[in-house]
Amino acid sequence: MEHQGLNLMDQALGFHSNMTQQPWPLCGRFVLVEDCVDTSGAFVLHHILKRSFTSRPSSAVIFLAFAHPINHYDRVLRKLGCNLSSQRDNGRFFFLDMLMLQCPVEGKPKHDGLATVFEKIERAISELHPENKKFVTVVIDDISCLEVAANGSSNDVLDFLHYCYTLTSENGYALVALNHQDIYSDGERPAFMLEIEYLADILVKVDPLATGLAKDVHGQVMVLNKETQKQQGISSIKVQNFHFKIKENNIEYFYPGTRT
Amino acid sequence: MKDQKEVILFWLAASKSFDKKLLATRTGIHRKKKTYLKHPYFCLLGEPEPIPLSQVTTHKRPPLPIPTQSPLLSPSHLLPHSPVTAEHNGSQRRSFPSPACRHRWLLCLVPAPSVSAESACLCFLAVLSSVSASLAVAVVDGASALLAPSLLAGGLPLQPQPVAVFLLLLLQCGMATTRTRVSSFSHNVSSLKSSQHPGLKNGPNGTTFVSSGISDLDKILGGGFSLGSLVMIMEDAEAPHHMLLLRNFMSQGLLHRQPLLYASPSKDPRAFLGTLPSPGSSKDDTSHKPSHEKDLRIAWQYKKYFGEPQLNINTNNGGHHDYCNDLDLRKPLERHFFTSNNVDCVSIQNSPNLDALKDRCAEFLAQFSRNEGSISSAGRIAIQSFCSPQCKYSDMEWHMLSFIRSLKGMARSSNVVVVVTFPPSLLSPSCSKRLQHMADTLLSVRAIPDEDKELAKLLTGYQDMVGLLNVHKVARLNTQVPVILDATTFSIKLQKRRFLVFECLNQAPVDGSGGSSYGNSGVCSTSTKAGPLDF
Repeated sequence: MEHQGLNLMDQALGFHSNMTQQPWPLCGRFVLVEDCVDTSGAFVLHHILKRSFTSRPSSAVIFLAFAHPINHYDRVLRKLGCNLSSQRDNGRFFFLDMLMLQCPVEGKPKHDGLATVFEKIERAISELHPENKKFVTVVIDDISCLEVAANGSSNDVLDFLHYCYTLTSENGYALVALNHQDIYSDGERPAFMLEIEYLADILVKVDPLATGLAKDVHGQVMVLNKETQKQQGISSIKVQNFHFKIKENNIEYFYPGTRT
Repeated sequence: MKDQKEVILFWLAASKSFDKKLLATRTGIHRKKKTYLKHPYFCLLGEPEPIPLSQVTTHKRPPLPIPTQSPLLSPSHLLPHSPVTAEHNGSQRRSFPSPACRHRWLLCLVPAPSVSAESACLCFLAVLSSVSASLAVAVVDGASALLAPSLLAGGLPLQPQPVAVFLLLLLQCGMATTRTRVSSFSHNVSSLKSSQHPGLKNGPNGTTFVSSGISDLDKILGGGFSLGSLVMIMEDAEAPHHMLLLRNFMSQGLLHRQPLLYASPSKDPRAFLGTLPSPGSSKDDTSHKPSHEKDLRIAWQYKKYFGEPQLNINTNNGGHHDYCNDLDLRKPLERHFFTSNNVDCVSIQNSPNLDALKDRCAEFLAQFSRNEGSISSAGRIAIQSFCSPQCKYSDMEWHMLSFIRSLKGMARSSNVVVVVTFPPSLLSPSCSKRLQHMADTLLSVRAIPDEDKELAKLLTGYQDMVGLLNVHKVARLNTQVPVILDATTFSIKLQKRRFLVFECLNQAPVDGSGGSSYGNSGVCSTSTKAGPLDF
């Protein structure tokens, strides 16, 4: 809604106060959310989901869930003020339940598994009402479970992400994915993480506070927004740091030290 | 008749000298007066316009004959087993509740006017209201009442003497006042559910808890393990403390008749069932965490943070020992609990891969699939050391990860708690991190070395400790708000070498002469298990 106050996260992601004049900032962009064991970054996904339903009336969401079933998201978003079942009935929310997806190991070529997933996404997009097709967000929760489903072949996962990225960037859709950075920081294949980070246009890193866990501040967020203003050919990188506190029906973002 | 807790006060003031307002103010009951007036049992007789009461007919016996010559009710009608008909000044028929509801009555007979009945009554009622508000009081003006001998419990005849006579008629009763509940789970606890399934408890956001078998752990986790969640316990390769947790978990499930699937890398998993603990006899009453002791140690400005978590502690200690039993590790569980068909044991030592176990789990979980409606039964799965090197598949990391992932996916849609223990030191760091991310609730147990002088100086009660428990993550299903605990490290102690308890770590008094700081990392770096100790 144009009248809603924008919090720090919205500004960092590029949302503007007057939505009518400027297009949706996540069009054609890839948002990567990284988190770790101590602090979960799923709240960013919930925030983006809510924004995509409330900011532009004709935005649809295709959700690939590898971690939680739909009841979980239904309850969480209902508290945030978003009714997923009514969105699904209106044809604007597609939930692809991948909890039990497991790509075959031997025999069949490995590409089968993820290729079918991609086809499902394409089919879901084609089934959308032409009105809803203007802006679509594809959300993947989360990439590490996608890797496990693909039996660890990171090449397949990278290919899949490239395909999704091509699909969304060419059509002006948005791609949002969640990944766990501490899995890769211990050094076996850091290249995987680096490749995905390179692909991403907006990087949201969720970390716990350096001093430990606290009740008032649940962690810190670093948003790296690679803005490319194609007209002028200038690409700038905006970095923003702030803290957050998660509540049941909203998330508070504030600059460090400004929490009263 | 609902088991409500209400105050019932009956005023029967025949004489007009009773100023009920005065009476109410003097005894401090005035603030409840308004609720009183609407109360079905509030009966003010002897007034020109009696206050109409809702009909409370819970009892079908024919009314007793009323002595019509008394302007007042005969007090025999106040007895709970007889209905009351008040015919004074055309008041309506009322009947008192049946013995099923059972009130505690205090019958006070005060003859008017010789003694200042008011003052007598006042002081009597002041005593009453101070003692407890759980007594139903009936004040009858005795001068104008005919007292049937049957009224008196002991059969004492009442003589209307010009002296205040107080008769106590206490009948069996189980009433108490309403108290506003402090527990934050108050709106979630369904007494109906807990009576049907003592092993289940409602949790927030539509989840249900089962007990972990250790009451301290239930308190720490805010109720227990959520049904449908995956609990992972990171073992310490040097000590088998995770077995203590597993034993309590399995035993609690068997005590609640919850079917159990147990998988372990040993050749004969059934033998492990013989070591499961049994509910012990009454635990020692001295609580190891007295709250007043806690208050003394907290600096005043941090008190605001400690107010909140107290609310989350389930108020189970009073009554329901059914939810979580005190398990005595030295007393083995009676065989009839696990010789029945509800325990399934699987050995994973010789299987080349986890597919067989996955099928067994799928079969087990299919019995408990969740549907919209009440939970008929819950189940437990305990997998011990599933990636231990004895197993043939222990180097197939992606295979193990996909097993856990599919297990988690199946468990989410069923009423089962899955507890898996694994030794993280025997896995590659990224695999171990992936498993940690997959867990809904993540705990880790660590051994502490014996006779470590540094730790002995740092912690009180070091001699009793057998290990440390770290709570990394607490399951938050259906919500995005994380659970931030006050402390995440707890010491594992065996009280009387029988009962497993977890205690917050308490720092020993600081030696003023020593120059070393008691910082977290400073002291622990000397021991082999370096890790932050969170006080």
